[in-house]
Amino acid sequence: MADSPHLTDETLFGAAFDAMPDAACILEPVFGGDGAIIDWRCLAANRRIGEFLGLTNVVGQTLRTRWPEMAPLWMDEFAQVLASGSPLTVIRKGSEDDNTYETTLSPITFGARRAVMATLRDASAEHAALARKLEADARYKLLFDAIDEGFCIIEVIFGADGKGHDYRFIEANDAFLGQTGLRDAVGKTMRELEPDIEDLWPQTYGRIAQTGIAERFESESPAMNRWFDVFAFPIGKAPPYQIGVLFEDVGKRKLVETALRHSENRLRTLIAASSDLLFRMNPEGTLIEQVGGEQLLGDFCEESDWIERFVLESDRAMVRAVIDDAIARRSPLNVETRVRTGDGVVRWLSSRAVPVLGEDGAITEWFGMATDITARRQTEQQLAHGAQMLLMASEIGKVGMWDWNVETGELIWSDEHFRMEGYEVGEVIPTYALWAKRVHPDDRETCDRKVELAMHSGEDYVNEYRIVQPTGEIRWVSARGRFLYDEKGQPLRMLGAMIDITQRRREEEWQRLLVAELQHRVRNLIGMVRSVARLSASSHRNVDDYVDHLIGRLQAMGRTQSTLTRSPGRSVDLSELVREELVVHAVQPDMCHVEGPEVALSSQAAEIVTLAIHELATNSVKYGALGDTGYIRIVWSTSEKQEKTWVSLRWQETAPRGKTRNKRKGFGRRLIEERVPYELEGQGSFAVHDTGVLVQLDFPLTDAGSILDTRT
Amino acid sequence: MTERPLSGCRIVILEDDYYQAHDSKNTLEDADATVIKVTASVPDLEALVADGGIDAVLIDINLGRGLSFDFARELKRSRIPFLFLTGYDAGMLPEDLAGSAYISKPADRARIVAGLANLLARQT
Repeated sequence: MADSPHLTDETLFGAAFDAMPDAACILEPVFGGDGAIIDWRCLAANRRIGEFLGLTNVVGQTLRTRWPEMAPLWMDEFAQVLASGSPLTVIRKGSEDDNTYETTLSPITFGARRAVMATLRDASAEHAALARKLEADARYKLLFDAIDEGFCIIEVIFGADGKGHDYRFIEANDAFLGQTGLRDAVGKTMRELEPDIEDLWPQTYGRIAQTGIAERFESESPAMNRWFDVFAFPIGKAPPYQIGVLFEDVGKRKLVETALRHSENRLRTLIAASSDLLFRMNPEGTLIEQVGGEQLLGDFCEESDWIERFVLESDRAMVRAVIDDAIARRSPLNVETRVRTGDGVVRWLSSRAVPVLGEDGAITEWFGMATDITARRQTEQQLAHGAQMLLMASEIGKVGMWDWNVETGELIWSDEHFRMEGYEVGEVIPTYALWAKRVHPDDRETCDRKVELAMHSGEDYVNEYRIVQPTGEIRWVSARGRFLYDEKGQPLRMLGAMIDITQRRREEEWQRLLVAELQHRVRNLIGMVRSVARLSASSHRNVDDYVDHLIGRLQAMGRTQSTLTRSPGRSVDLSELVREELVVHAVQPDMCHVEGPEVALSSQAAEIVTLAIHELATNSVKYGALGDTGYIRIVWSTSEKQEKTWVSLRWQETAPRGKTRNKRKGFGRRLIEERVPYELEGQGSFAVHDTGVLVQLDFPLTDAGSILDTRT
Repeated sequence: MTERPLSGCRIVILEDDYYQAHDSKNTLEDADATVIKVTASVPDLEALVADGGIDAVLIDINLGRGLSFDFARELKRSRIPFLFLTGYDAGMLPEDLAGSAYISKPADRARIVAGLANLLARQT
């Protein structure tokens, strides 16, 4: 402008023009021949043009001559400003650099002349920032819609109490629908969409809107039947803020979490409540650590070889062997062992552990549990002991036992039971029918009835019956049994035992016979005594004499009885009998000769022979050889006749001649001549010679003589 | 004994004890009975019946060598009355002979005579 002579206050305006922060220049149109604008000539340029654009000596230059390539671009805009009279701002990249320039074109009128002032500034920084903002906006939008979480911006509607009452959705992303189930939410309020929404939600957002403090929370909305994980933050510069809500429906996760928590709780409770000891063990199986459950080993924490510390010495080798084997096979281990716990008590533990294997297949540790089985072991031992005792007792006591399962019909017999039924042990499978088959036919009905009665009455089964063994042998047994019932009173099992009482039965029978026999003998004896007394009376006139004889005879009979009672076999040795009678009559050994083979006499024969010797000795002392210097030979022999053994006994007296005079048939003679044939089916002879009496007894030996002999 | 209830009766005694048999024989003979046989072993019944008949038999149960029940049954079949005279109790009698006339030893003479008289009275 320095070259404009028309300026009145050149200095002032020139200085102002030059002081402008923007580069500025004034251009004047150049008219062609037809009056149209063909170019623009620079009238003035301030100092900033030079500094800013690096241009010098531009005044007086035209657009076309100085910037021919740019001229077409600017010509129209200059003309437009000139024509419209309004300023125009153009943002355009620099032709010679990458900068962005903001150019403002303003029309100027001075006098009749008109011009355009162009002010120009570098807007590169602003422009770049704008571009970045646009880009960020695009990215935000993309993210906004691309995320899986729901996002919305809301505006809280406050109630009269100043608390959040409702909220309006300003914006919502694509995921919003899926996360909430709310359709076309933007523009609507929450209560319009879901009238039952809990107060918690608007109140929470209201609080954030007022305080400007972001909150993260998890909450359930029963009205929406969803669980939400929410991050809500304020948007804006001052309260009440808008709220950005980033959220996620975590219902499924919540379900899984809840289930997991419950299951964890259960597991924890289980471990805590467990009466077992849960432990970890090192790969070598030497160190253990309790991880839960009962403190079966006491309170221990130090790490030392647990086998050494707890396991009883006698079990250690076995435990180590089991562990070593499990380690070698990398398979679960199972061991029952006795341990001495911290308080010194010995217990039985059953331990099971499984190996935890690493990726390389090696054992990293063991995990396991130990159960206290002391009680079980003791019970087992007692049971085994009891069973053994029972077995032994039943074998020793010859007790046959049975266990009859009434429902299934299964029947178990002890070994002795098999033998009592006449079977080899295990020879047959026992059944009720098999048992019944062995029962004596006469006892079968009673047996069945007694079993029935016991089953229905609940009373013990008590029975004595006969078993017919396969050999035909009959055994008497005494059986006792008891039924066991279920809670409804149905019979389940019958347990019982029986013993062989055949011997007892025999003895009872034997005793009964003995009593009868004793009665018989006593009565017979009395009858005989009476007969003897009567017979004695007829031959004696003198009472003293009669009494002497009678007593003598009764004593002889008494001796026979006592001899019979003494001898176990109910037979009497003939030699003993003869010698005893001689002793009783004080016959000296040098006055007699006794000789004969061993002969066993029946009781009847013994009685007769005793009485005969008694009579002969009495008579001999009174009238014969024994009353003098005589001598007696008593000899006997045996011989076989008609399939019987006969005894031939001779009594021979040798006395001084004429001494023996008694010839009447007295008690002794009748005994010999009549009773011997009558009772012994033999012969007896009684002869009186000059030298003395000669008696000959011949009779067959028999072992009969008592009803007792009829027993087999 | 003024009455003679057994007068002329033919009686057999089966008794293994000589003295008892002797005693019974005397008793019955004193009562005017005819004792046709005294024996310690079971006699041949047919021969005795053929030889004049038998009115009654006095039987001891225990014959020493065995019991007399079979003989009693034979008598029963032959309808010959018999009286047991025995040291045993009536309980010893087998079922088919239970209720038979019975006197237990020791029996006095009057009871034996009365027993047999009863038996014969019932018979006629």
